Amino acid sequence: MARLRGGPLMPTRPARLLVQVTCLLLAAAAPAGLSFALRPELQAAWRGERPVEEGAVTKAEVAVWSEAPLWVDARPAADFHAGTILDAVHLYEGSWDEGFANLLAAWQGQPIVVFCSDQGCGSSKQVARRLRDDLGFADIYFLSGGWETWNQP
Amino acid sequence: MGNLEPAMTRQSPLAAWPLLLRYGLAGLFLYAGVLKAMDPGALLADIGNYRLVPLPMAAVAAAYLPWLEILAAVAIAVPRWSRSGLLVVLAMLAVFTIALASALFRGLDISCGCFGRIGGEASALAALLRNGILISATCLLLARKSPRPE
Repeated sequence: MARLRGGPLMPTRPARLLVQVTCLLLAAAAPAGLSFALRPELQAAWRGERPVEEGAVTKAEVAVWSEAPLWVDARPAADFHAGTILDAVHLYEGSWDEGFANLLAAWQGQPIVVFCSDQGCGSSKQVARRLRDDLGFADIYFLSGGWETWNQP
Repeated sequence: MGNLEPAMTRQSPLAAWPLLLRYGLAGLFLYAGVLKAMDPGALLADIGNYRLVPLPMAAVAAAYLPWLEILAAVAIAVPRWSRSGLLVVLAMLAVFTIALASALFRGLDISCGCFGRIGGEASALAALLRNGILISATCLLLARKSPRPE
């Protein structure tokens, strides 16, 4: 009994451990392959095509909308004050209540497009999602590429 | 000897912590894996945002990682496989932590992608702290001695 109590957690020999880890790594490949076969966005990314996220709009797409959107700048205050899209409302997650009140004052039912700094930033998606919940309004998007893209010709 | 037996066999409730921790870790990774497996497209976007790997590799990771998390979680819950499951989880946590730290270092404003889109978003810093706790818990389980024979 004393011998058993002194044994390791799972008294696996390194070789058995290696076999088990290899089994786990290989076993995950089967459902992963199935997932890959069933998801066109993964196949497109495999071919090098950038995925289009739900709710993402490009500058060119917004330019042809019949109704001008309300732009919402989700970047920190310093970036907003340094330069932003004309008539954009500042709504930063860290100071939500103040920004949300400003947004309500400016919003007249038009589509809303949220943007942050660049392609990789996540705050515009989070703000857009939170706005959809808080406003109960579906026409809320985020700008693919963010402020970086906006400044490109 | 008869008087000693109850004291020897009765275990303190605290003695159950390794089991609770093991099942807690298994449950957490099962939850994270299922959420990601349900929406690999969102995971692909999150991996892409880290800007660490080319898009084709991100696609492979988005298809593969959720299932590895699920299988590792199941392995952790099965006594004979728990150590290998913990090792796989530890390796994944190490990779995730390096990716998060790299994103923080480069000043990227990204969502963690740790629990898919349904599971809520955590800032990179909060996710980094959480990973630190999970790595500690995993190491604790890997290092501890067990009364279980093989």
